[in-house]
Amino acid sequence: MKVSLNEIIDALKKAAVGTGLPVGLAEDAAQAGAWLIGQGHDGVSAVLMAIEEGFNGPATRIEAGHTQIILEGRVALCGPSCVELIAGVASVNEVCLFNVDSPFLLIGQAGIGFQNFDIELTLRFSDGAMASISKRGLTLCGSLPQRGTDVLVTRYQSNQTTGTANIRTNDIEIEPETWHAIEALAAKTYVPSSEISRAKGAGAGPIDNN
Amino acid sequence: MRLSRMGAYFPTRLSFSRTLIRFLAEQKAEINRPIWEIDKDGFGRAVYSLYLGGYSYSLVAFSTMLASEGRTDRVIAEAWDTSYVLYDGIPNKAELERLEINTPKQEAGRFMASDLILSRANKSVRVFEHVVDNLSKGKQPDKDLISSVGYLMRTTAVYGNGKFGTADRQRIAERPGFFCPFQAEMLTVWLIRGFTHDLVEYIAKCRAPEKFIPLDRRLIRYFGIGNATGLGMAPFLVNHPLLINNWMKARETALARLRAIKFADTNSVKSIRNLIIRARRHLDQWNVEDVRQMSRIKILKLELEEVEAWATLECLEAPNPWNRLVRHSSRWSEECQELIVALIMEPHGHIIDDLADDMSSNSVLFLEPSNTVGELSALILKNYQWALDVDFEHAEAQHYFWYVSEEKLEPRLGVRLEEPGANLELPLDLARRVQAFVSDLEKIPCAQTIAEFLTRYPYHRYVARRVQATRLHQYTEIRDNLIGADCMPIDMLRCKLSFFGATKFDPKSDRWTRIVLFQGAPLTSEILSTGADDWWLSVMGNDL
Repeated sequence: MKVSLNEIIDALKKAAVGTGLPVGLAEDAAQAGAWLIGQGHDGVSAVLMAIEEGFNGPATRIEAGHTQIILEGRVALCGPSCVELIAGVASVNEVCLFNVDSPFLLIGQAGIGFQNFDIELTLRFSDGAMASISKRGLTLCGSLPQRGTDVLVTRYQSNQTTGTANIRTNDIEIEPETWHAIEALAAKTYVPSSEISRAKGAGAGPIDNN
Repeated sequence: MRLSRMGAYFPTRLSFSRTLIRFLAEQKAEINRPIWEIDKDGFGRAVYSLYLGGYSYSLVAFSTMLASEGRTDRVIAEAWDTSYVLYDGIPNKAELERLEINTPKQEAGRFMASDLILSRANKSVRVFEHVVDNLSKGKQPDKDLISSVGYLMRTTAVYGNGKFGTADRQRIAERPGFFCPFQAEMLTVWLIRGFTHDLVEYIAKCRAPEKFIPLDRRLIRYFGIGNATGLGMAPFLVNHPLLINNWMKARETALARLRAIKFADTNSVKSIRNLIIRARRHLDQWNVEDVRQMSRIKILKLELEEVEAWATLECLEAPNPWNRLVRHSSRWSEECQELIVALIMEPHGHIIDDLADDMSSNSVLFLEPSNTVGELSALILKNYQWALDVDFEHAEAQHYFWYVSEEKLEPRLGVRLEEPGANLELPLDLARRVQAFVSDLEKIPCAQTIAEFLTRYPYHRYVARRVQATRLHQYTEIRDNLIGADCMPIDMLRCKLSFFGATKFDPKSDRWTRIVLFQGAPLTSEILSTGADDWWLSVMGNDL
């Protein structure tokens, strides 16, 4: 089926909230998914992979000199912070995540980081994959990173001065099963209707023939 | 930005419907009707096309039979009298067939990038049939009835920006005329208005071709397009802080420019005095059943008499007339103050119309990670005192919760202690979130960055971004507790609708309202005529 980019962003955000992700992080996950779609990758599955297990508490972060270490690589929860620590904390040069649940979503979050902070990032995965985000967009080397891999995120300077913007919008092809999976998670944020909510919740009557 | 003031807003010349009409006039847009396949009872399909800024657009309209028990303004409806798509280009036969299958289904249909806007409208049964009946008998309709309603049909939803597969805004955002917010939506509604005019005359003519007379041209212009709007609009204002900031900033900048005028020119003075008279006549024709609003209108009518008495030629020709008028208005109600804001904008298009170009925003909030906890705390103290002042120990302070209903995904408002669902509350509880944020900020050393803070407290990311946004953007937050027992969602609706250019606010409860759009606006056949921009607070002529 074909959907619009805004439908995807809205559905991913709701789905993430539906799995227990705080709303601010859910917004970020949805935007990262959209960024991946703009780069021609499956941003929807990347988000789904990161949220479907639900969430407990915040990630455990350890400082080791100029390196920050995050032990549980729940990307939807800690991915934006990885990028922000590199972008905004002078003492942080790199962030290491272990056991990453959705490597592609982390790449998307790095893409959003590039958009917001104008910093180029490299993600070196322990399974041999490497991703670089620069003005040229996303460059992938080696095999595709797999769930459970570890990753080191660092700043780099490509000296690229031109590149492509996020241009894909409407009529994005998506597998119906994937879409239904998102909708099912999003539905967890909806309150079932009742007579009282129908009668009072919207403050309007049922028929208008005047 | 307080709810009570937002709930007193009037349309201005910066409202989006006004911007659209100015652009259409500037572009000398010609509207054609290449397809009119409507039967004698008014059912069938029609297409209206225009060429605008290098692109063709078409309103594709479908009119279908609707049983009276199915006619509801609520989003829970499943059928409508008419349904519409604003199509990007001119649809061929196959596209028309696709749209004919999907458009009447509305939310249950699927749409494509070529479908820019999706909408539907129901007849005002008493007005529509009255007009058909009278025109078919060679008579003009009753002007009192027309005056009391002001439209033949009312839209109950206007969807765009990717909803149900329609075009993402990015597709048209850079096109001429569509840079300003909601222009495609406004174009759709204006074309729907034209369709309702054509439809009512066509049915009347089919009913009695020999006796039929067309609607009086002075009367037909008074037929706007109605709209019924509910709670769905309220979260929009909270969920788009940068966009709302830009709307408010444009208004405030316009007002500041006008207040800085040292001496008013003769034409402006004359125009303002005429517009006050027009506004008084408009208020005479604005009558609603809602006790709160009607009482406000009555007060406003009295106050406007005082405004007229104050705004003498001599007074307005003295230095700083608009600044003095605004200052003087503090003695009157907020409705009157806001009417004055809209009033003084009206003759000053050459000074303020450029601000409409700055009212859109394609940005999303993002975190400034290097800000420290101390900086965030200071910002909260400076810009969120209204939130810190709310005492959430009292049950009234969190009386309501906002939620999305499973039924057609309609935003609703529930009473926390009476209804289930508070665990799925939407994040419109900004004041409460700010207080929780402060409570955790106080546990952390001031020098720590917000990036570090959020690794430990990720829940606060949403509010942290909003707080940071207030550093550069003054109007991102509604400075009231939106879950308090005294919250009036209708105020949010009126604010947003005023930016659309809506008039005749007719609240049906504290949660939904009817309004009129494009009342007095040029017809599809009149856009090339002069005076296309002079329709603020339109009035049905006494000479009819």
